[in-house]
Amino acid sequence: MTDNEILRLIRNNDGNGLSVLYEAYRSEFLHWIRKFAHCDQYEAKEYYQASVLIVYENVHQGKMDDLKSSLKTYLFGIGKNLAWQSYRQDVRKQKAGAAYYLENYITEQSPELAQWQDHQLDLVRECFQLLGDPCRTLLDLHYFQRKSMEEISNQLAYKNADTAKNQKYKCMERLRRMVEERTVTQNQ
Amino acid sequence: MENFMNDIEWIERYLDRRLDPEEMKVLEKRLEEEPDLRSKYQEHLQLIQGIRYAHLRERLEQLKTLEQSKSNDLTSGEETPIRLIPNWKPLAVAAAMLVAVTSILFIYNRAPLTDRLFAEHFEPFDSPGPGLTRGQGEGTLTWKQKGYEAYDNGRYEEAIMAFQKSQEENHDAIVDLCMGNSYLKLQQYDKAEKVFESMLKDHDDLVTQANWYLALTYLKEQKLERARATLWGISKSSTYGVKARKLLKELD
Repeated sequence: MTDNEILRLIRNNDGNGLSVLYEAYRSEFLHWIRKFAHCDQYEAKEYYQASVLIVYENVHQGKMDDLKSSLKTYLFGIGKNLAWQSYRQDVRKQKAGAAYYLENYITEQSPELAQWQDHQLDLVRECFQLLGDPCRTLLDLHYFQRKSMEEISNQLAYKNADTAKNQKYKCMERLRRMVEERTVTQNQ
Repeated sequence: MENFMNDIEWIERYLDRRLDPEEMKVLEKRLEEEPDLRSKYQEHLQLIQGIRYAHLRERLEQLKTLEQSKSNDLTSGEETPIRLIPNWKPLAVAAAMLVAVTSILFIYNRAPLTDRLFAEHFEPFDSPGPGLTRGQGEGTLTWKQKGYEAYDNGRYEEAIMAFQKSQEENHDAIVDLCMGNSYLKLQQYDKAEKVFESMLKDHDDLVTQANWYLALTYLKEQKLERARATLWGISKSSTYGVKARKLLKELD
């Protein structure tokens, strides 16, 4: 399967896209990162899983629409950055792992949120999971998959884009309140 | 509420870069001057990033399951179908194989448990390699590079000598780790123990790795309580935690 075909699968939200990407460069990446980062097979897999997911996220965010290099170069470049970062950020923390790399990646996207408390991202994630449908699907479609209100209203059978937009606002409000309540509880 | 929604809309358009330069200036000025709007902006951004993170974490679980199934495939192999009507020939072959396998297992099980566990879990640490640079001949290799080269090619005694010289010049945790592993390969467990213990005393780097290999050394030396305690120490590590917990379970 060519790079473009893999990217198309991911873009079209085909369930296989992520697995195909994961299988495509797995052996080569694991072999390479073990040498590059002096790590064992377990750590190599953590780097690989995070790298694949960052590529996957970038595809959805439209950052790979004009990809100049090969998919492999891009993927390995991400792996290299993660390895350097964990080296610089003190590997002794023993906190590293794919989930940690992803958390770092997300928070680095928003320097405005530098003062976030530890675990704040996890708190929002937990609340989001408790949100239930249709809110979860709606917010995921809009904020992760970057679907327009028009597309969402078609997919979730809302009357029109404005109805979907109103619903999205209500869902965000619910999420905001849940996070607020949990933050208060945690601080007590 | 109308105002609130309006602000959120502005914020979303700003984040999506859908504001024209003039509108962008206006919003940025308001963000500077209005603390309420700024906190609303940060809160909204936080929720969006949390939603993206939640999606990635779900997908991470998918990859972990995929990876797990790959590991299972490697260990379990393919399932063979069950024959409902047995005939004697395959049964005879199976019986012969059963006898053979049982004999092998019997011999294998006679080796002490700790030896078996050590053999199953010990995988030498990967060295960074000599990393030759362009124009660098063999004669110009540093002690460290010579050590890595010998280590990678299984010449452990030579590697230890080079590592010792390298440590006299400049102390390096990776060199220590490779030196300890060389001793393990040479079955000089008391020396390996000293290297790893002094590593933990003198270095802050590669602590988990040093603990893992130290635990394996203790295991081989039959110092089971120390092995257990060392494994417990790293059982929550994200890098060696799974291995440590597995070995602890097997020791029990």
